[in-house]
Amino acid sequence: MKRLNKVLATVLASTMMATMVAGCAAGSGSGAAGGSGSDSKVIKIGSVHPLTGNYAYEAQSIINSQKLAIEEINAAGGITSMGGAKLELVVGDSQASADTGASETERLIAEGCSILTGTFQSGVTLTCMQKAEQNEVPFLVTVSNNVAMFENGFEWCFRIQPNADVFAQDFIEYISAVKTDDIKTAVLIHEDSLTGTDSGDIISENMASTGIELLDRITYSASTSTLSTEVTKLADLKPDLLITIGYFADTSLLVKELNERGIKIKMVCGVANGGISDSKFISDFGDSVENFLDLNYRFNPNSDKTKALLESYKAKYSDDMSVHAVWGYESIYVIADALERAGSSKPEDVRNAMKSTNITEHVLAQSGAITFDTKGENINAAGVLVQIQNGKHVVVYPTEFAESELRYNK
Amino acid sequence: MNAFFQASIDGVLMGGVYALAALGISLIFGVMKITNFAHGALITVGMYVTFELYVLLGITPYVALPLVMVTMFVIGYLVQKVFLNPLMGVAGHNQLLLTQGLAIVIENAILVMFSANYQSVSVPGFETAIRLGSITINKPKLVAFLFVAIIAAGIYVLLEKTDLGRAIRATSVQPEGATLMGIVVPRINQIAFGLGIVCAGVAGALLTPTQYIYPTSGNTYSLKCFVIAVFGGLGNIWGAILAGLIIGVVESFSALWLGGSWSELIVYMIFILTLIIKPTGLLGKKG
Amino acid sequence: MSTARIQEANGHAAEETNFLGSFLKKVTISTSNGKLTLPQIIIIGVISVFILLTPQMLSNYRLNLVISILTTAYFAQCWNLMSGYTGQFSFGHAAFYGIGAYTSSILFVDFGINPWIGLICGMMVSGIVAALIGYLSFHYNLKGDYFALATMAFCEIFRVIFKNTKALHAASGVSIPFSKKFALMQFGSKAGFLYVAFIMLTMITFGLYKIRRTKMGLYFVAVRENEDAARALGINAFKYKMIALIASAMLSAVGGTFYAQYYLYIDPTICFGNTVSISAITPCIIGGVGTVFGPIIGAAIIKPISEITNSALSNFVGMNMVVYGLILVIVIMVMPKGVIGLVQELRVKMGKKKKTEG
Repeated sequence: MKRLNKVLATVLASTMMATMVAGCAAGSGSGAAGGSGSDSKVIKIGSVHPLTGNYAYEAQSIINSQKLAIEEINAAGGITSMGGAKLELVVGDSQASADTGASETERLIAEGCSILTGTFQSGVTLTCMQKAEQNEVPFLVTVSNNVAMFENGFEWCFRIQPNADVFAQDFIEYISAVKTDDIKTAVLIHEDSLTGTDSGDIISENMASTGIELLDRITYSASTSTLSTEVTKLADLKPDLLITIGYFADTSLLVKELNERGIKIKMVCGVANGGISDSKFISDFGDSVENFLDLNYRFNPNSDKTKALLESYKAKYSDDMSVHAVWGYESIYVIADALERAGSSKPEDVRNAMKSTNITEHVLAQSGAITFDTKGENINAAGVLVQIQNGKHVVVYPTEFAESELRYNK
Repeated sequence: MNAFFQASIDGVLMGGVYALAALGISLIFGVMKITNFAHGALITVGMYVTFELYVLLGITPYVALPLVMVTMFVIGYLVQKVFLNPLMGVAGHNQLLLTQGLAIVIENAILVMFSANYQSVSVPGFETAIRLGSITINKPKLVAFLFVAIIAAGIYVLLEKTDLGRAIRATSVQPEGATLMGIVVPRINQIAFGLGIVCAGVAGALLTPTQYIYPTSGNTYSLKCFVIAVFGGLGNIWGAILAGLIIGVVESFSALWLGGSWSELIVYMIFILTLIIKPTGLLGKKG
Repeated sequence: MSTARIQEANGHAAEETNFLGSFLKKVTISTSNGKLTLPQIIIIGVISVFILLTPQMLSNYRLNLVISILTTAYFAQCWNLMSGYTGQFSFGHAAFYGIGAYTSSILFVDFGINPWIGLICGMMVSGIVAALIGYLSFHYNLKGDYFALATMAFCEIFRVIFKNTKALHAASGVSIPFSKKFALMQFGSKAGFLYVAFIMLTMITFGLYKIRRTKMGLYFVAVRENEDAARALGINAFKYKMIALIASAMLSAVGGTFYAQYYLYIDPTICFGNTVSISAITPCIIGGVGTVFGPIIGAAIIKPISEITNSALSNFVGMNMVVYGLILVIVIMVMPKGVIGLVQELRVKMGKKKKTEG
C-alpha cells in the first residue's frame, strides 16, 4: 500500500511538473492581445462574473441573459457589416476575487475577445477594468454601482447601468415627489460593503432635502446569520419610512424578522435592493411585502421588446428574469450595435464605435437613448420606483414608465 | 429597556444554534486533535439534506431530523475513514489544509448539483413569533434551542454512561493506551467524527426555517464556531454550550450598541483574550 | 542535537551507485545545511534564464500567470520563513501583507507620499504589528493550532477594522492611479513587474538558503524541532520566534505593496481575506514546508493548475473549484511532505534498495 502510494505520488508529481510547464508555455491562443481582424466568422465577447461563491445565482442570471441576447442576434443574421459574423460568449469565473477576476480578464483577452463584460462586484470590476485599460481592450460593465471606478480617467471602459450616485439622487428626488405628509421620519439600514456604503453615504447626506428626518443609520454585514438586533433597534425608533440597501439573502432575513414580530412600517423602500426587486421575494413572502417599494434599475415594462424578452427568458431558463439580468442582455445589444458601426472586431475599433453609441431602441427604463459621456458612463441612466402590487412588480414612478399608481399604506 | 430584553433573548436563541455547531467542532478536536475547517460546509450539507427530504417527502425539518442525523453520521464516518484517518499523526497543518480542501470540494459540489438558487423550507405555523408583552420570541430558534439541549444531553449520556463513550474518552486522552486496552482507535475516530458531523448537520437542519439555503450558507459559521469551541474549552461539551450562549448574547449586544459590523470584532477579541488568559477555555481543565 | 539528526537523515545515501538514486541525491535540496551542488546550480540557472526570457515569448495573459507564480512563491517564502523554519504555523499572514498594501497605498493616494517611501513605511508598520502579535502570542505561550487560530482571528480583526473605518477608506478600498513611471513604483509593462518579482523572489530564497548555515538559522530549526529542549540548552526561543515573525511580516508587507502597485486596487477583502492567507500556505504544503525551494515548486504547480481548471471547466459552473479542491486534498494525502519530501523519501528508498541488493 505504501509502495503504491509512492508510485502514485511520483506519477502525480511528474504529471504536475508537466502541467506546470504546459500551463506556462505559450500554448493556445494567438499570443497577441485582443480580437482578430474583420474577416473572422466568430466574434468573441468575454464575460467575467462570480460564478462560484456567494453571488453565483445573480452571476448566472446575467450569463443566461447574455447568452439569450447572443442567440437572438445570431438568429437574426449576426453582424451584417461583417458578413454575418456570429457572436460567441466566452465565460470566465472571477470566483468573487479581484486577482482571479483580473487573471480571467487577461485569459479572455488572450483567447481573442474583442470586448469584455462584468463583473457584479465593484472591487473585482475595478481591478478588471485596470487590466482592460492596460491591455487596451474595451470593458463594458454589466453590474457594478461604485462611482469612484469611473473617476480614474479610463479610456476603454463603459457602463450602462446607473451608478450609486444616480440611485441615491433619484431616490431623494422621487421620494420627495411621492411622499405623503404623514411620512416624517426614516431609518436607513444597509449592508456594509461598497454597494451599501456608496448609496448610504449620499442618502444620509442629502436626506434633509426630502423633508423627512433621518433618525438612524444601521449597518450590518451581508453574510450575517441574523438581523434580530438590528430589527429591535429600528422597531424601537418607529420610523414612518424604512430605507434598505442590500442583497437578496440579507433583505430576506430582514423581512422575515419584521414579519415574525408583526412589525408594520408605513413605507418600505429599497435602494438598488437585490431582494425586493426579485420575483422569488414575492413568492416567498406573499402578502406581507405588498406595497414594498424599490428604487432600482429595471427594464422598461411598457415596451413590447421587454415583454417579448421576459417571455423568452422564462421559456428558456424556467425562471423569471432578474433585474440584474437585464444588464447582461442590454450589454450584448450595445456591443452588437458598436460592432455593426465599427465593421471590425479589433478592440480599438470597437472602443471607438462604442464612444458614439446612441441607441434609442432598448429595454431599459430610462428616458432617452443609451449614450456615453467622456468618462464612459451612460448619460441617461436612471432608476425607477418599483412597487409590489398584487404579487407583481410594477413601476410606479416616474410616470413615463409607470404601469400603475403608487399605493400607500394607511 | 425593551431592547435590552429583546437583545438578550435573541442572543440566547442564536447562541443555542452556535452552541450546537461548536459542539461538533469541540468533540472532533477533543478526540482527535483535528481542526475541522469543513465544518461550515458540512452545516450547508445538513441544510441541503433537509431541503431534499422536504422536497421529496414533504416533511418538515423536525420530522426529517432522524434521517438527517443518520445521513450526516454516515458522511462523517466516511470522511474520517477515507481522508483523515490515513493522516492521523501527521503534522496538524496538513489536517487543517486537508479539511480546507474538503470544504472547497463540498461547497462547490453542492453548487454543481443544486445550482446557486436560493432555496427555502417553510414550516406551517412558524411565520409569526411568540409574543410575551412587547418581547417576541422567534419560534424556529426556540425549537432549535430545545433540540440543542436534547442532543447535548444525549451526547453527554453517550460519553459518560456508555462503553462507546468511555472508549471515545479513553482515545481522546491517550490513543496509545487505548489501543493497548483493545480499543480500535481508527474506528473510534470514525465514530467520533461521525458524531461531530451529526452536530453540524443538525445545526444546519435546525437553521433551515430561519434563513435561505444556498451553497455558501454555512460559511458564516465556520470561524465563529471555532472561536466558540475554543472559548468554551476544546473537548468540553458543556463548555461549547455555555460559550455558544455567551457569544450569542455578546454578538447581540454588540449589534445593539456598536452596529452589526463591529460585533464580529468583539467576538474575535474575546477569542484572543481567551487564548492569552486561559487557552483551555471556560470549562477546560488548566494546563 | 536536532541539526545532527537532520544531517544524519540526509547522510544516508552514502554509497549510491545506481544512476537515478545518485541523480536524485544531487538534485534534491533538503533541509540540511548542505550546499547546492553543481547540477543543482545549473538547473536553477537554466530555469531563471527561462523565466527572465518569458516576456519575449509569452502573451500578456501568460505573463500574468508567471508574475502570479513569482509573487505567490514570494509570499509563500515569507510564510515559510516564519512557519516553515520556526514551526509556528500562522494562518493569518494576510494581515501583514494587507498592512503593507494599505500603508503604501493610503500614503500615496491620500498624502502624496512616494510609494517607494510608502514601501518602507509599510514594512515598519507591519513589523510593529507583528511585534505586538508576537509578543501577545509567544509571551502567553500559544502554540500549534491555538497559535494558528489566533493569527486567523487577528487577521479577521484587521479586516473588520479596515472595512468599517472611514479614514482607511472603509469598504470602498483604495484605487491607485495608473502611470508608467518607475519613480512611482509602476514598472511600465508586464516585463518590468516580472523582473522585479523575480528579484524579490531570488533575494528571499537566497536569504532562506543562507540562513540555514547561520547560528540564527540553526536556532530556528532547534525551536521548531523541540522548543523545550532548545530552551533547556539555553536558546532564547521567544527572541528567535519574534525575529522570524517580524522579518516574515516585513517581507510580506513588501509583497502587499507590490500587489497594490500591480493591480492598482485594494480593499479589505483583497488584503485581509482568508483566502489570501491560505494562498501563502498552499504552495508550501505542496512543495515542502521548511525547505528552500519547496514553496517555489508548489507555486509553480498550483497556479497553472488553477488556471487550467478555470479555462477548461468554465462552462461547468463550480466544477473548476471542485477539481481545485480535490487536487489539494489528494496532494496532501499522497504527498504530505510535499514534492521535496517525496523526492527525498524516494531517494532514501532507492539508496536502501541498492544496499540490500548489492
